Amino acid sequence: MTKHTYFLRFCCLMAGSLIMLSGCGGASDTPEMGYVTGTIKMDGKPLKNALVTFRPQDHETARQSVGTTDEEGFYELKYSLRETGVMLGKHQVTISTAGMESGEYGADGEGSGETGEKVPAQYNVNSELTAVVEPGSQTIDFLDLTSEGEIVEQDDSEGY
Amino acid sequence: MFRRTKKGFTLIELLVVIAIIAVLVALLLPAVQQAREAARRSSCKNNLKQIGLALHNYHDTYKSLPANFWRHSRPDDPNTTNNYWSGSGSVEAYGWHVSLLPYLDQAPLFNQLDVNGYHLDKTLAGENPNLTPQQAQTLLQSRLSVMMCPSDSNEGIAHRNRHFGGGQGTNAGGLGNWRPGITNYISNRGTRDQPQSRNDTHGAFFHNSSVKFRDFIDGTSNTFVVGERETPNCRSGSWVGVRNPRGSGGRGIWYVTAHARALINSPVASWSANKGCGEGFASMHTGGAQFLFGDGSVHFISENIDSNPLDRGPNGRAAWAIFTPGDDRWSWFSVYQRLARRNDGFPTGDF
Repeated sequence: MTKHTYFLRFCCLMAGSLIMLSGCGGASDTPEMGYVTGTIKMDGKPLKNALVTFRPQDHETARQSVGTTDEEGFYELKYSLRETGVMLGKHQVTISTAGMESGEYGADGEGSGETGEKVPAQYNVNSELTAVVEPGSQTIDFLDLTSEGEIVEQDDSEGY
Repeated sequence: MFRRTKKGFTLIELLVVIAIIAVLVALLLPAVQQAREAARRSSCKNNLKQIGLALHNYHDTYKSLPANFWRHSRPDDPNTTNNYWSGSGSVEAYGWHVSLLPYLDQAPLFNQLDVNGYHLDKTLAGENPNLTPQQAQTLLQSRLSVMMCPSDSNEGIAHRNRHFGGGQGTNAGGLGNWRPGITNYISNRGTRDQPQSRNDTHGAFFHNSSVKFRDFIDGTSNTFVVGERETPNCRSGSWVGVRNPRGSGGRGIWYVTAHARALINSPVASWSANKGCGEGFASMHTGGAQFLFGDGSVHFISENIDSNPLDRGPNGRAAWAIFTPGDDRWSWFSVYQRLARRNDGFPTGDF
């Protein structure tokens, strides 16, 4: 029977080391992230096709995460094409509809155009909205936006 | 007589062996997938390298890099620089890929198209007596493997939003709405997103450009010239050229070029809000994209690179719209944007 025990022990050791080996590799420079979803309403109505941007305030050149709202004003923040999430910590939040591709594609595969800015400047150009992102999933809603206020169209037509 | 022998395995032993095999397979399968992607990625990198060699050979011949896209003035128009931007839009123009065809073993294609004899819109309109618009269309839909990244998934032809419908030449030649040949390799035009802007000449390519290597003040190894763009989200591009160089959004110059205001692998779809990956660089590789630098080297740049899009400055103007040359606020540009600008004068360090 001892022979069997040795064999079993050996097998367990092999399996264990393989499992541990599988933890090697895959090192990534992606920062630790939290996962944010939420809803945006302006004047009590869902704000659709708006771009929500979370800009890290602790490290100003760190990558921002963005989300696009759907018909219900729901957004999910994405870090890159295939990764959801947003960096942890304090963020400045901007909400804007300027330059968003809108509508369905026509017969020639062309989008139906770009939307203008509908959100006042206090939520984008001069945004005072902030949010703190913590590890794990969380919901961050912006439900009491008002359309009162100056709307500033971004102008970068000239310059260097 | 029943006699207990020691032949064969016990059930436990068999189960353990099966378990180990299962663990091994579970470990191996993802590894095989990753190995396949690694192979595709290095093939993709090789294509970039070939394009780099072609660019250098082109530079040896013509003493400059090719134009991002070009369409020089009409004979009756003395103004050679501005006429391109005046008048009606939707004039098709060949892009930089076409200039490189003779240096990528595609000289027959280049010659058949008679690129030096006829502009793209003229060819499509049927003004070349040796080439009907239909023949030109077939040539322009060629699948060129050097232009395609194997990691990308596409139909072997440009995305439907990179079509050539509605252009002047296409209309004149009666081609309707057609899709040109696809490419995943896109030039770097700098950091500005405005197609109409004539001031953004800080990238390696711009309209009618003839940038020389000596114009890379920051050094050719600190400036990238070409990068990748994938198809499913970002609609890749076309090696043929642009359909409407003055158009905004998807109608514009992003068929052949990209800017570094959009982050690498930007999650913003298409060209929305000047941040979409449809006008930036993006790839199917995990975690970043590959870039060809001016010195011919190819580097994988992580999407976590410091990049500050500076998209909102005072009074709602994009931050660099208020910059003038020599302004110390140029230092606000982050590593990614500095790599995209050949003459910002700021060191990049490691990336």
